[in-house]
Amino acid sequence: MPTVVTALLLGLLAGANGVMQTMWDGFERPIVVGPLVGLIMGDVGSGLVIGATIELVYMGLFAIGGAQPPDVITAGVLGTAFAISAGAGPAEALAIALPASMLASTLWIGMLTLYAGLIHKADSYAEEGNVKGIGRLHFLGGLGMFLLYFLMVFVSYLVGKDAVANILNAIPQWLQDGISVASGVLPALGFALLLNILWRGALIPYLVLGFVLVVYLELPLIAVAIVSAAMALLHDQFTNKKAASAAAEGGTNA
Amino acid sequence: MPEHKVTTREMWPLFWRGFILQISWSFERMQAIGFCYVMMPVLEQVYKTKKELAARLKNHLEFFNTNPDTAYFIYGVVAAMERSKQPLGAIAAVKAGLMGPVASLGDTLVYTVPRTIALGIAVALAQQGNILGVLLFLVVYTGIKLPIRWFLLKWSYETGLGVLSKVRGSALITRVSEAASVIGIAMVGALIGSMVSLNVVWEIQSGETVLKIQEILDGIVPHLLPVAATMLLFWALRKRISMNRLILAVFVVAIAGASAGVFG
Repeated sequence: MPTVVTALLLGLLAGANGVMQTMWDGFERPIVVGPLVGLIMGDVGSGLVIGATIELVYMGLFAIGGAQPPDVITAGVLGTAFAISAGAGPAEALAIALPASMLASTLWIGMLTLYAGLIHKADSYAEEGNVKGIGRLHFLGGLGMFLLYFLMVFVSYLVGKDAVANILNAIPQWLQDGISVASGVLPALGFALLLNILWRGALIPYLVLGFVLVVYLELPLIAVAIVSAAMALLHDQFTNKKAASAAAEGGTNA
Repeated sequence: MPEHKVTTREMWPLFWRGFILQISWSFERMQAIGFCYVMMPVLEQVYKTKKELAARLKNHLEFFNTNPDTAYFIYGVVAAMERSKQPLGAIAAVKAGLMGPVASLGDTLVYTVPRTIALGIAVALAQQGNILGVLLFLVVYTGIKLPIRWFLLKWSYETGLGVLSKVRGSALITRVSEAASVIGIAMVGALIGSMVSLNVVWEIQSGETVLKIQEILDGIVPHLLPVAATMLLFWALRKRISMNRLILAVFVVAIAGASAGVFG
């Protein structure tokens, strides 16, 4: 398939996800996009493995307290596409995905900052009771999102495909090893972020239990999910029993 | 406010419009245009003069931002309030007061916990070459969001303003949130133990014996280094070091460590 066509398809995938991520998220995730890129480029297997690797890192990257994470769509699309096209592995895909997605994030933030213009126009439409006008602005926003992602990916792939392949093939072994190690550790960042969100001293035992279940008992994740659900119910029983008996004691002492 | 049975036909515009809440998102007022867009059909039906409509539209262009799935709860209450022509200020107050809690709850019950679990399992299956994990993720994740949206909308629209007092006194929300956090944090523990890899290839030679550092570490606790790395990054995040800096730091340390023959 000629590069232009591949670039076009990748651009459409990215553009569609660019809008969808604000509407119905899930389809923009690297684990989904990876195989789709693989399908476009004729190697679903690699797409799946690369998508999984990128997903592990981006899984926990949320926009917390104003900090925008690297863009998840370009990470999945460009990371996978460049890697497959250069015949590189998941670790290299990640090494491309990260800087590319950080740049994409900056552009996205820039565009959303400019969207303040939509608000001001909407204000004047509201004054006139112009419902159709507000609707048009709203859809214009969506179109912009589609176009931004389409262009970012289409242009990057078309222009960068060979350059990136050359760079990847020129990476010396020691650097490759380092990138490989990095790709193994980077998921820890996402998990650390998740911990930061969920952290409460009282919940530490459950963190430990989850770890022990996979490391020592070697349970698959689904099993851990089931056990966690059971633990959550027990936790609820224990904490509510305490609250109920405290209330009862308070009653009798009064 | 009397409760009234809401028909699917009445709910439908709110339901589908809620899907595109964020396509005009901006930093200035975030979901404002989107929220206005969701409410527009109800407003047009209820307010027949241009002056009234304009005032209501403007009211809904005020700053608004919340979780797009649990937002449906707010659509229902506000729609019910508009139908009974509640004052502008009252509606604005309800929106302002609900935004935050609804977002927190939604973020925990959709993103932080269920999505993480579904993605974790999908990745685990994908690593074994099994693409069904991806389908499973999409089906389960969608399976959670659709009912959340529909039933929150139905409940709050039918109950109207009265739903707020029911919700405020309820300990149920805290308990559900807490339960979700238990599941979430346990899963993160599991993910740390299975999806992070960091091994030391360093060996110390002492005469004839070769000490493999990794074996020693594994003898203490398997996956000890992944845990250490995660907790180090956790600590760094607490110290407000930025995500991007930490990504760079990981690369630098990894590359340096690999070159020095420590990691591998």
